[in-house]
Amino acid sequence: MDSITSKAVVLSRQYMQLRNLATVAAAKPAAAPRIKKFAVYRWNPDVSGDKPHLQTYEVDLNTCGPMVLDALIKIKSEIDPTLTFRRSCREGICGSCAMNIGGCNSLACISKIDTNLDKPVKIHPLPHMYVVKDLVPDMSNFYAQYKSIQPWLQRKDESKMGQKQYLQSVEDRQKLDGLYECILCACCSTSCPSYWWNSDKYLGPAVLMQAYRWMIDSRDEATKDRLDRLRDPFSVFRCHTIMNCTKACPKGLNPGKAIAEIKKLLTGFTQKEEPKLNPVG
Amino acid sequence: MVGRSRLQKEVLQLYRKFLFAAKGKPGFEQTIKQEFRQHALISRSDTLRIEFMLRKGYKKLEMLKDPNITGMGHFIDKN
Repeated sequence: MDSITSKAVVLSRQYMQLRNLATVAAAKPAAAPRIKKFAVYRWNPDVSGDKPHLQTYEVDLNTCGPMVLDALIKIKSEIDPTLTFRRSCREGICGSCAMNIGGCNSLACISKIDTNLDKPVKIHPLPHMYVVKDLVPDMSNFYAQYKSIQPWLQRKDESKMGQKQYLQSVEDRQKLDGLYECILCACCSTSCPSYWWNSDKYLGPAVLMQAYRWMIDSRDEATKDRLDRLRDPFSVFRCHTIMNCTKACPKGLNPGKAIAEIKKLLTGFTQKEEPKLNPVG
Repeated sequence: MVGRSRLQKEVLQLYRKFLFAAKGKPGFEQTIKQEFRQHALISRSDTLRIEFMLRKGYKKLEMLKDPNITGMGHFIDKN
């Protein structure tokens, strides 16, 4: 019995070796490299006399992930470590990597690289924003405008704030769908020509959509104050329904519609409904 | 220099605002003067860089005006 089992073990081992040889011999042949060109906007303020220019990088798409951010990280780690850009979540939720890719504002982490090897991918920072370095825009004006709309819940009586939940009916909560998902990436505001020409006084679609989100929140009681703060010819009414904002939004939201609703509230055409459920009831 | 350009006047105004904001706060004046002198070497024609420096300067001025900022220290490289 012993000799039979030992022979069986030897035979099976030889069989396994043959199988391994076969798989090694049948390894995949190296695929032809797919070289894609990336033309990236570069400017370094620390280098005297430097002017903004386009620098072209070549990346093999077979060794790179499918998204533009993957290519940028590959360029930074392997080709040019001085390339500067913002990034964080790599999944389209933080809004850090917003940039102009091929003429359209979008998030680099969810923009697929166009696999057509004849055309280069053009990457620029968000249009009409001051540039800190390479692809990094100066967002301080944008954030100051967001701060100015007071994006927090305001009630007349805030003495008992935090003790209990403020109640909200299901229909009132559904009014916020499509507004609260904004990640403040600034893709929409920087795609609006009206915001390009008046970015100091016009608030821009992103900020206005958030202003609307707080206006129609059934738990918020400062709607009249919020509307009065926007009652001047520039803050809202520089919007001429160009609708570039809705086209550019990487999360699929509709800032243009929100601005139209603000205009309706400002002109008195519609009024905010009473909350269906008393928040402190 | 006779007939200062608008950009030069802006830089000088920023310098004066900085020195005014630094009153009563120890350690800032020397840094301000040092930085302005260091960047004075940028050529007049490099407006892109001068405007970049101005924007940075205005932001630092806002920070300096904050009453919570009371002093500044330095790290000196001994080597």
